[in-house]
Amino acid sequence: MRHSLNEIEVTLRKATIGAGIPVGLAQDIGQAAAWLAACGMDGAGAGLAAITGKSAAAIGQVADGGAMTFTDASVAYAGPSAMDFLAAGHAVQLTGMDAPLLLVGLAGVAATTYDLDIACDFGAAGVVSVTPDGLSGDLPAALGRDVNLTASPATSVANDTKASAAGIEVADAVWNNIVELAGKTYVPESEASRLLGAGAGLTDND
Amino acid sequence: MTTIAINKGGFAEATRRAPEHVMRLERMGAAYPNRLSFMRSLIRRLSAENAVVTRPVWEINDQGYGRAVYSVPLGGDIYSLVAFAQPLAPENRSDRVIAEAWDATYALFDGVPTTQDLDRLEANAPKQEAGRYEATELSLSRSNKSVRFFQHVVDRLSQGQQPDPELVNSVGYLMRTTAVYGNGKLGFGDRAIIEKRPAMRGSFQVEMLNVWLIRGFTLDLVEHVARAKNPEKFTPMNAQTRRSLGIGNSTGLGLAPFLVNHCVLLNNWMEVREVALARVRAVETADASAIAQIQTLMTRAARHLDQWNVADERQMARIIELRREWPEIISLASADWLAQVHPWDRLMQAGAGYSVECQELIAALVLEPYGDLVDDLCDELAADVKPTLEPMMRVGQLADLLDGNYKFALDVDFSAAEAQHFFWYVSEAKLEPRLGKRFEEDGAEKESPLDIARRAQALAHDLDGVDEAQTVAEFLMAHPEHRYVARRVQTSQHHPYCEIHDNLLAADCLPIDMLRYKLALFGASKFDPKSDLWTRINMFQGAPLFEDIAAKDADDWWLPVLGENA
Repeated sequence: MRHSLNEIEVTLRKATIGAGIPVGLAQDIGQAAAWLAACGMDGAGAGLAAITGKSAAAIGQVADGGAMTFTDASVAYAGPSAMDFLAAGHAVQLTGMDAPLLLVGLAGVAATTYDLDIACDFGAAGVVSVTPDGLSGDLPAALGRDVNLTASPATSVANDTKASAAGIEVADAVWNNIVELAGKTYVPESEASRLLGAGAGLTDND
Repeated sequence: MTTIAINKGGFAEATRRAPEHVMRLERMGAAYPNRLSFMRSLIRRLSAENAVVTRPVWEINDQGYGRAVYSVPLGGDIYSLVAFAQPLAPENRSDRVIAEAWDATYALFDGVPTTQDLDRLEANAPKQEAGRYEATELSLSRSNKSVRFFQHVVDRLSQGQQPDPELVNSVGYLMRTTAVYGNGKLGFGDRAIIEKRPAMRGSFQVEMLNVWLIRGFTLDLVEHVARAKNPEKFTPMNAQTRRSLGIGNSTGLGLAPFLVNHCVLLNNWMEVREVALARVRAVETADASAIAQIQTLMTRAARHLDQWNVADERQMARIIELRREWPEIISLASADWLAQVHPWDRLMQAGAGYSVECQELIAALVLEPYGDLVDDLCDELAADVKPTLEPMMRVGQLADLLDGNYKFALDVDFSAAEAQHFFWYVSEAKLEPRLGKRFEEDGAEKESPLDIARRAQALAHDLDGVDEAQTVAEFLMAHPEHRYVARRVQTSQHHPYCEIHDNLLAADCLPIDMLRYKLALFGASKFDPKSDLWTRINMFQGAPLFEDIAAKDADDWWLPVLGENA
């Protein structure tokens, strides 16, 4: 079924919270999924893979070469932090990622937010370049689990190509899983809640 | 005298009111519509373009059921309201989000719908949230009749009589909307599709257009049913009565989380109003026409207050107090007094001795004559940016921002039960936003993140003792639970009006204050609180009708008064 970008962002954000991940990370994951969707990629699936993947919080270490390194990386946790360090001028490395496509989405949002050109070097799988303008070139057929990230000041200006996006098809199985996780943030209905929680009466025939 | 400075754009500005002053719930809950309100800016644009509304489809039967389409060009694009009216059993007529059927349902279509579009929408719009939509739909809504008044108007018009003026005043609308959705919900078009269009640059313009067209539909519908009932005796409603009827709205808690969840937008809304006010307060001398307009509007405001009666004791007491205060303001603001230097700044200062309702009414009033000074700000109401994390910021600076901008949070004693009395949540029943009592109801473990004050205090606690030279990136890597509030705190650096300066969990938190603030921004008036949690309002009352949108007084409907402009 086709879903709007806003639906993807909001529902992924709720699903991430429903998966027990902090709200601030959920905001980043929702935006990254929507960015991917705006570029015609499976942002919803990428987001779902991240929030149902590894659950370890991210603790990066500065490697010998000076790069901030996240090993055995949960993209849901390490991805947003990786973008923070990238924007702060560090080179960043993630290994053993559970959801590499979402990492590209996070890089896309970071490129727009911080006005950067970001190179995601997946080694043998190829290099994915993102700019404030979107994805530069084609995405490799398969992304690796390890990536080196470098950033430089953007050389292009966002041209709002994403603004014409009219939503994207999302596989029903993926969407249903996301909705189910989002549902964990909702409080079950009760008669007391129904009567008291929103104040209004139940019929309005005046 | 307030300090005057020259600010962005070369405008002189008096000192802006501070966030800790205007971002309090008590003051937000006393807001009035003003010329920057979303409905006002929409009507000005429609009027400036001499927009002509057409009705290419009218397939409504004698009982008032069927479908209709209204189209209007705006800013070079055409927008069409697609309306479906259907029978509704009284037991199903509910204004709550959890309702599943309505007297009428609507979609605002981007362009002119084909017959296939209409058929598709007819299969979905009456189901509202249970339907699915395409990117061509920009807004979705529904409305219920004010049953007794709708029938009264049908009966009167079918007998060749006009509606009872007392009922026109006390009800003020034929139908009330119960939800107006936009921005990609349920599959319809994302705001990104329209946000670059000049006519849609402001806030909620597509939703306001939707509602204005619905208002016109309700007027056509009631006359259609009355004419069908008795074609020989039928008389149309007179123009003044038509203009007196707005479109009602029942608003519940959904608006409150919106304000918290869109903190840059909240900042823009408040900052634009405060910049506008600061520009007007900097006016050195008012010309005679501005003084005359203000005096006319002060008199109109007095009549508006006289016609504003509600059952809610808190609001009615405030109205009564304001009715007592307002003549004193009128008496003070004589033509001679206003002819002295800095009249609007002095009027604002004089208002400080009166109720908050009175102060905010003055703040709305003084903007009215100064479209040339403030109307350009309407394009700045929408948020172009989301809150952005500044990862290179030092933790010491983050702590300073907390100390400077979140005093309202740091002062709260959260060990006291009353400080965490409420929890906000989303019900699984049609995702209705609700408010629960933490120590009496289940569900607090799933509360929505509207606990900004508590989160800010927790951040301050965990920052204590951290090396001030550490970066925010480093801190948040170890504390991802603070990422949400840290981003907000950083946002407050450049968006000083981004937070409500109250604890939204506190026992004395009144959600109705948030609802009124946002509804005043829309341009609504005659707030009619039904509890602390929901209110009815009137939208577009006194606003131009389809047929008089190009009239020279099209923008003259601030605080409508029955028998005058409305």
